[in-house]
Amino acid sequence: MDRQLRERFAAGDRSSLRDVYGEFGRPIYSLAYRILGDHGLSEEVVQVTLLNAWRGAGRFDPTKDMAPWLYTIARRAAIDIYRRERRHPVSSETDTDIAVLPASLDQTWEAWQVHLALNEITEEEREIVRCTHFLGMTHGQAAEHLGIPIGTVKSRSHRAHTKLAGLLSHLEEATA
Amino acid sequence: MRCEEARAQYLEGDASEAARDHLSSCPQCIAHRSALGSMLQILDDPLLWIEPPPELERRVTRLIETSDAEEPPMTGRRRRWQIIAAAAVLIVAVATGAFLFGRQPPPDWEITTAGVGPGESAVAVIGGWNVEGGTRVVLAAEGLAAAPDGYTYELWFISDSTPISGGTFAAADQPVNLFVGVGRREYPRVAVTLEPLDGDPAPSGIFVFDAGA
Repeated sequence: MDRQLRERFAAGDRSSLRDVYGEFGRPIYSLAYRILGDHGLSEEVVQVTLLNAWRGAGRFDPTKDMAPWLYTIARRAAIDIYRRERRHPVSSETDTDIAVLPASLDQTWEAWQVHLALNEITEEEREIVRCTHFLGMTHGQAAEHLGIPIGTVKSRSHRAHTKLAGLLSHLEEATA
Repeated sequence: MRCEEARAQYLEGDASEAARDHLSSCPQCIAHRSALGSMLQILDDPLLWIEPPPELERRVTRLIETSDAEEPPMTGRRRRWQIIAAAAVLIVAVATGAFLFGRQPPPDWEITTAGVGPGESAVAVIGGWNVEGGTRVVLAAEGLAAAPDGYTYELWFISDSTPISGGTFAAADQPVNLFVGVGRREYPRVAVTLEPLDGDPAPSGIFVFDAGA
């Protein structure tokens, strides 16, 4: 995200919201779904996160990266909603469970970083990565699915994964 | 072969023999193997690829517009002035000597801090006395609404990720007396959270003050 957009957001320029949503809407939704496992609640997390971020925009320092700041807000929003949902129906048994956080919290930061890295590659490269990882396709199947030559699939796939390996190298350092 | 090339082939799920040799012999890549495996697992995870509904963007925008009509976003400048005004009220009150500390000896430490989250329009002065068995704390706040039904405020001393509760209070329109069974030397961060009355002993994560870290 460029600094100009961060400055517009911090200054309360509403037109910046669309771009912020464009960059972070999917990562927030995916993070929330990873924690809550529910589409409706995940949508609520996206709304709460961006609303809280908007209300706190004056505190955001536009010289800094927005991703860790939004991640913290989103994670907290998801945990609060998780706890709220665990609280119903009220019983002594569920009260004990409230202190327990979902095990799926473990990989949320890594997944968030992978999301942001996917934002940095081209749409065509992302589509190849999606075909091969999410849909489990071979290069040949992806070529047929996308209607492009297999050589193009191979070169895009290799370029995409080289970029991802580079973009995520800091994550390797942090988690190794 | 370069590390990045070998790692890219690994992520692609189609590592050549040269790449496999590199990954199993390069000390840096061996050290990063588990992180690399974790990344591959995330790429393969269907959760990474779920999409929010297309109309969500419009709903978010609409929500923020509605919210703006009720409560415009607080810019840094406006918030700074609000904090300065609230702090001035508190400082005058504290200076009179009767509001926060009364006829007590001066505290061993004192923090003036602006609120965050639900307490973002509030400011607090928190004073502490090192006493046997812990710390006696007095908190005075300006602009902090009473805790809503079903919630209470709770003060914490925190070291790294270990929080020690200093007790709860429903409102801080008058100075609140609390006691924490540890000292600030070991637990430097002082925070106040909004806690649902649910019996959960851990902090909720809804911070209204967070200072001293």
